[in-house]
Amino acid sequence: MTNPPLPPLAEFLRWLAETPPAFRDDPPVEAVLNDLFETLGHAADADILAVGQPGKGKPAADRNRRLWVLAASWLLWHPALRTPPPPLDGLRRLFLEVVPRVAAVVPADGLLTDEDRREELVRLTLRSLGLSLPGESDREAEDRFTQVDSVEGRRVVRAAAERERRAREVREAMARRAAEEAASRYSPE
Amino acid sequence: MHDPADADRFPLLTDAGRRRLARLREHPSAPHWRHRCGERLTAAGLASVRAYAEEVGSKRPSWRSGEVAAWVPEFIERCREEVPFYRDRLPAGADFFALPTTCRDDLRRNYWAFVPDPADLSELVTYWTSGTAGDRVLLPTYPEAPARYLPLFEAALAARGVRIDGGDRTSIVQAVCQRRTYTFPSVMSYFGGAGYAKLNLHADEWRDPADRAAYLDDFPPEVVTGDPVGLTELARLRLRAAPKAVLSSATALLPGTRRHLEAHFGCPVLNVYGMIEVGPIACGDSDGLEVLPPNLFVEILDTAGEPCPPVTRGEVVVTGGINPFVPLVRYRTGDFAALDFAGPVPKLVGFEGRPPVLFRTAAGVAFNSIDVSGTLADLPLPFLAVRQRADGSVVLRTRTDPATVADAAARLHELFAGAAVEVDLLPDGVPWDGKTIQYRTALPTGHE
Repeated sequence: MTNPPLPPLAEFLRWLAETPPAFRDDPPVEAVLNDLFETLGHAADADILAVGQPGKGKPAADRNRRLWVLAASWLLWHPALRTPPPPLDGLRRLFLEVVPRVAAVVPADGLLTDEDRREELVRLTLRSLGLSLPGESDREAEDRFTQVDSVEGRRVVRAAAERERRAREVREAMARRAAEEAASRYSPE
Repeated sequence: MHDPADADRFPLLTDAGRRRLARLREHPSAPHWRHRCGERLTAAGLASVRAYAEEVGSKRPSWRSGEVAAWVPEFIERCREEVPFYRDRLPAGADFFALPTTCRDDLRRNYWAFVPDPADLSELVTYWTSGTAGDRVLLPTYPEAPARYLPLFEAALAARGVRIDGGDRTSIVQAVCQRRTYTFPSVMSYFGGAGYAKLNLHADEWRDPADRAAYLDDFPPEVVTGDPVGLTELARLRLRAAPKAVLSSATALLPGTRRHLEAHFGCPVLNVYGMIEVGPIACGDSDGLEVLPPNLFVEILDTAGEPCPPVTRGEVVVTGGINPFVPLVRYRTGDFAALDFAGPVPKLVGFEGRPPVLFRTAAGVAFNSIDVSGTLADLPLPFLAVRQRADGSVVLRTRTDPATVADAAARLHELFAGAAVEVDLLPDGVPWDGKTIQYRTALPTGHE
């Protein structure tokens, strides 16, 4: 049986933009996850509940991760994502791998102020659940995701900075050595 | 006199090597040394050069027409992963023959981008090199790169039954003859601390011109390297001992000059084709130049960048090289030749160190400058420049004896089908600048 078509991206963006204040503050995240999973017909196991608990890292990073978990939970409350309920393995991938990764590089505040971040969350969620937006080919979805992918964007920026640093290092080393003696060569060219 | 900087120049210097270096430097007939320079080779570097020597001794370049050498795909993959210049230029999985070529201007503009990310910059040294257009390129390299020439020379000589013994002697002298150049004595750990000297045989570089022979008689080299001008000058000195072999490089060695040098020294005279950015590429005699390094892949491309069939002339394009600080992928050398696969090792034939120039006969018929090379090939001309003026007349500039000049002028007159030929003889003592063979034309459609 195939899933009914999803609403367009704009509907999910609207849904996220109208996130209730209760999901933006500091509610008990474990309780939210328990309710969500129960509604979706699954049991939230210890691994899932752990992502909602305070961790051993820095408090700010910890809070940021829990705010992303709340935002993803609110998105999954959207009626179009509850019927039929998404598969458990997709939910586990979303909460255990994808959300912690993006939370490590992007402040959750961006979900309030930046539509690209809201789109990023929508696309990360749909990819985790194996779902597609209507009227969008896999190639188009991939291209659009690349444009809002903060994790990859951060990696690209860091790689570019690293390359520039290395290039500067090589240029400086060559400028220094150009003024020094080279090594003997044994034939003319 | 002991120079404290020698510790950096010669990390492996032994007491015997220090004494040899001092003798080379301070000999009463020594030239005005214009530079201080050493091999800068560490124990690890020497071990690496020895490992390379084993590779050279056990692997010969071997691929057939239309193929790439077996090591090339992995080399390309490494370049894509590690070398900034290639990162976006070499698409993964692309056919080698579809990859873009690289040229000297890429090196000039982006020299730093050729250094692989893992390369240890503490080992970096640089060379300035100049091209035919006079554009200088700052080239990153490391001390092992020039030292790797030695096993390549050894292999080329061994194929002619010549062995470099090294040890307590001077094994290599580089002979050039020009107005000004770096000159220095050195020692070579690879050859057991044997001596090496780069000499400028121009008389002004010596306290007394007679010192040139006196110095070389006291330090007779096993092997002489040099360009044809320097080697021809060397042949004019009356030396007591002849080398075991002569390696000519830098500019084209004309067949007549080769025969003259072979007859004079009584030893093999080999032509080594190489470039600073690549290292030695090929070596041989009048039958052609066999590709020398096992880690160099050579192609011949036409003007559209397509591979030429065997024995069809085009531009020499190389991949690989001995300098890991500048890994080259499809590097256009600007030199022209054909590849011959008839033997076990690919061979460059019809080599011409620069693109052909179109000359015209008095009747306006165009012909290739290679015909001039062919017409004059058996004359003992150490160098020559042929220039065709806009009015079709021809100027030959060279230095040789009057009978040879007359012969050369007559042949050109015939080749150019009656065009006036003027000879401009370069006086003794005036150095020759640039490539051995230089062709230019002021006529339209000719290109230099």
